[in-house]
Order: sequence, then structure tokens, then C-alpha cells
Amino acid sequence: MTDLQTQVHAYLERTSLPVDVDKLIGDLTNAEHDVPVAATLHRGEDVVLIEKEPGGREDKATREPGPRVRKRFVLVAAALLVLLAVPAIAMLIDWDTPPLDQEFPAGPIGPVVYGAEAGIGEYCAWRMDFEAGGVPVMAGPCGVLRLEGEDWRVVNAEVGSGSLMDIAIAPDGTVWLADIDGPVKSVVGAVVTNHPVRASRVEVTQDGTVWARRYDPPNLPALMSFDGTAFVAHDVGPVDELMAAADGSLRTLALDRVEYDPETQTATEWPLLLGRMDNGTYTTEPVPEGVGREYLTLAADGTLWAIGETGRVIEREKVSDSEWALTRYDGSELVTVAIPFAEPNDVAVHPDGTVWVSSSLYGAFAYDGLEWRRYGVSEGLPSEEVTFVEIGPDGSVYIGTRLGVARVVPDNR
Amino acid sequence: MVTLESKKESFTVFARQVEPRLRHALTAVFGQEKARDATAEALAYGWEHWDRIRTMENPAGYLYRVGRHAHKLRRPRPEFLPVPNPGIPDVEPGLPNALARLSERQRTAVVLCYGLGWTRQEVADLQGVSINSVGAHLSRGLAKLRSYLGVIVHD
Repeated sequence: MTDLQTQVHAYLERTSLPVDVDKLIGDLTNAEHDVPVAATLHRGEDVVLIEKEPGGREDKATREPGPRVRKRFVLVAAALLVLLAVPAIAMLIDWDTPPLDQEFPAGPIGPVVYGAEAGIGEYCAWRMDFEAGGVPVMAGPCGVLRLEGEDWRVVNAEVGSGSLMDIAIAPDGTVWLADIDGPVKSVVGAVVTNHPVRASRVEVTQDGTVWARRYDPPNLPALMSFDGTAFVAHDVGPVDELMAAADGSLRTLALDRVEYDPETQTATEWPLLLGRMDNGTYTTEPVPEGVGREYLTLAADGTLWAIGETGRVIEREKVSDSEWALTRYDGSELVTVAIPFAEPNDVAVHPDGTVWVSSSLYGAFAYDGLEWRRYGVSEGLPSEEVTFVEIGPDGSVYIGTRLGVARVVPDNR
Repeated sequence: MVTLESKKESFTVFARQVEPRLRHALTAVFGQEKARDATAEALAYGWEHWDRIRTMENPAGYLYRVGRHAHKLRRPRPEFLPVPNPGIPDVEPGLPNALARLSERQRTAVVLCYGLGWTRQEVADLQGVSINSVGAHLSRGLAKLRSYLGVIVHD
């Protein structure tokens, strides 16, 4: 089978549908000779020219090819003018982020903010984990940073990477990094050790075992653990996500898939599975189709909270760009809640039961089971382009953003 | 005064130049058929406002936003054409659906950087975000794409 990049390129090249620019300009030019044109719509091979203003001449709008279009299109033209004008106005206001579709009550004002003055550069707040003593450590394009007092110190800049996917800190303070463009790294201060395996996830369970989800090659066992010298594979079937549980076990999620072995030309179907590695024993259970699969976290009681995209949404609300749902699965019951904002990119569950969901466009949101409260720039976030949300051992909520980190202490503490 | 002929001449040069990249960028957002419509609408808008748009520093970027926002207002889901059969024997049939399941920013990074050879800087300029942000979306998008396609993809 061809590599993925070649496949994507070939598919896009072969299915591209170019606009006939010369024909379009000819239509527009002809229309300008005869009538002012408000808009030109291409629907398949049909070109519809729509007049800008109603006038005295007959047949100011024409359909090519096809029958003449009458003045009823004036209303359509007006609607299209609005359609074209509104985005232009919106662009003057904000080029990149469409407005939220609804108002949210604001979260409490007054988070502690660490930005450039605290040693955090742009996009340095990328992924976070906590040392055994509760000190937060971040990793990302700027390397590994550790909070010391009120400042973030760059512990190691050498390991900085924009393709870093995960961070986990072992009880001895070793920082483990999973990077899909490079080897797994273990970092102790300035000393970096490369481990010859690429991984998309890394976790440390309570017994100190370091686990990794191998990123490739895809036909080798995905689950690996570090034996003190090297990563060893566990042939337990597909694994896509890793989560260290409060009970000491490792939990996994494996997406449903069809595995194909090109050598034997046989295919194996796998359902959506939750896995559990406990004292060397691995068990799996199928989970309902509706469980989110994009961003996952385990609550202290083992309940799986996850975010997934549409197609699996039970309650639907209007959302901005994509339709997303937050799911809660406790092993028997699946609860699905619509996420009323776009681009969620992380989820964390506070010990008080509040679920925190971040968005790469609109800040962070706290869901208490009844309503969503929003934390944006006006509530003190350095930026609303959020990169992660993490709960510290002391109950503090850390919100990573493009321009720094905010630490929020929930008001019920 | 700009005559219709001179307007046509200058706009034709511009439109021929920007159409492929504009269409590619909108394909990443909407899929092929809607991208063609959005591209045509954006170019028609460009024709109507050519006096203003021709003086812009990045007119193609402006028209991209016109096409994107105009269609976004109608809230379409991305729709990618099926893999032609017969046609591209080595392309995984699940690729169109897998692309559609990515978030818009991830899909834009994957389609443009990975599939069509744009630089990360070009995509960053298009979207008005940092190059690091594009890299992050590309990494996550590729990870999800590989995940959706299972082990059929060999890198």
C-alpha cells in the first residue's frame, strides 16, 4: 500500500474540481455589459447570474444554459448581498475566529497568570504534568519548563518540539516526552536520553512504570512499557490512548478499526475497546459507540470523560464550527452532553465534579452539570487560544494558552 | 478611469493565478464540490470589488476568507468525494471520511501541507495563525488520520 502522504496527494489531485476561470470571467463581463451583477453562483455546470438592482429592462438576469430568470431573483440577490456583506464586516472585526453563537456566564475573575514576564514565551505552554510534590512542569516547542516560585525556568531547551504529543513525570522526577516526529525522550535536567521508539502517548502509573503508545510502525504492538533499559512491547491488540488511573491501573482506549495484514492478506475487525492493565494482566471491554474518542480523561472514580465529534451526539445544540459532544461513561451508563462551542481540545475533571473543557478558539469552559461558565481574556486568560487544561494535585486548574498559563483556584475551595 | 476591458485583463491574470490555491485552501475546509462553489463565489466577489481588492497586500487571503465565511454561514459539513473507482488503486477508500472527521484546522494543515505541498508558513499566513500552531494542527491531524485509517497505512 502506498504511504499516506502519496495517498492524500493522489486523492486530492484526482478529485479536484477546478473553476473554469475564463468562463466565469466571461459571464461576469457579459453581465457587466448588460446588468450589474450581484453574485455568480456555480452549481455543477450551471452558471446563474443574479442582477444587483431591479430595473426597467426586461430579462436583466439570465440563466446560462437554461430558461430566463425573472425578478424573483431580486430577493435572492438581496439575500446574497447580505451573505457577502456580513462576512466582510465580520472579517473587519476578527479575521480568524467566528463569534460564539451564544453568551456564557463568565467564570470568577482573578486567576494567577504566568506570561512572558514569568518566562513563558509564545506557544511554550503546550503540555503539562505534575511532579510528585505537585510542582507543574510543561513541555513544548520551548523545551521543558518548571515552575519555581513565581517564575518558569527552562529546564531543558534542547528537547523543544512542536510535534510533542504528551508529557508524563515519573516519581523520581524524570520527565518523559512522546513526540511523533522523534524518539521518546527521558529528561533529567540537562541530560536527555533518546529511546528508539516513536510514541503518541506516554503515561506513568502509580508504581512508577512508564508506558508508551507506539506511534509506528502500525503493524507492531502499540502498547509498550519501559523496563529500566528499553521499551518492551505488550501484544494486547490495538491501543490508541493511555490514561493512568487513580487505582494504580493503566487504562487504554482502542478505536474501532479494521486491521489488514498485507503479508497474509487477512483483515481483522476490532470494536471500540476500553482496556485495563493491572498487575500485568490486560483485560478489555467493548464500550458503547457514542463514547467520545478525541480527548479523554479519567475522573478519580474511574469514570471516563471524553470529547467526540458529531454523528454520535444525542443531545444537539447549535455550535459554531463543528459539533462536539462531551460524554461520560462509568462502565454501564453513557451520558452525552452537547458542547456549545467550537474546537474543544482538552478535558479534565476536577475533584469537585466540575468538568473543564478547553477550546483552541474560545478559552476554557467549566461545566458543573447544569451550565457552562466561560473563562476568556476578560476573566484573565492571557489568550483564548487554549492549548490544555490540567488539574493540579492541590485542586488548582491550570489553563495553558498561546501566550502563557493561567492558574485558577475554583471558588468552592 | 478603469475600463471594463482593463479590469477584465487585470482580473483575469489575478484569477488564473489565485484560483488553484484558493480552491485548494477551500477544499480543505469544505471538500471538493463546495470548494468549487465557494471559489467561484469568492472570485465573483473579487470581480465586484476589484478596485479595492487589487490594492490589498494579500488579496488571495481576503478572498479565501470571503469564500470560507460565506459558506460557513450556511454551516455545511465538509463533504469529500469518494475515491474514484477504478482510478486510484492504492488510495484507502476510507480516506475521504477520515479527512472529513478532522477538525477544520487540522484538516487544512493536513490537506495543504501534507497533501498539496504548501509550507507551514504559507498555511500560517492563510489562516492568520503562527507557524507553530500550524505544526501542532498538522501533527494532531496526522495522528488522528492514521488512527482513523488503522494499520492499512504504512509509513
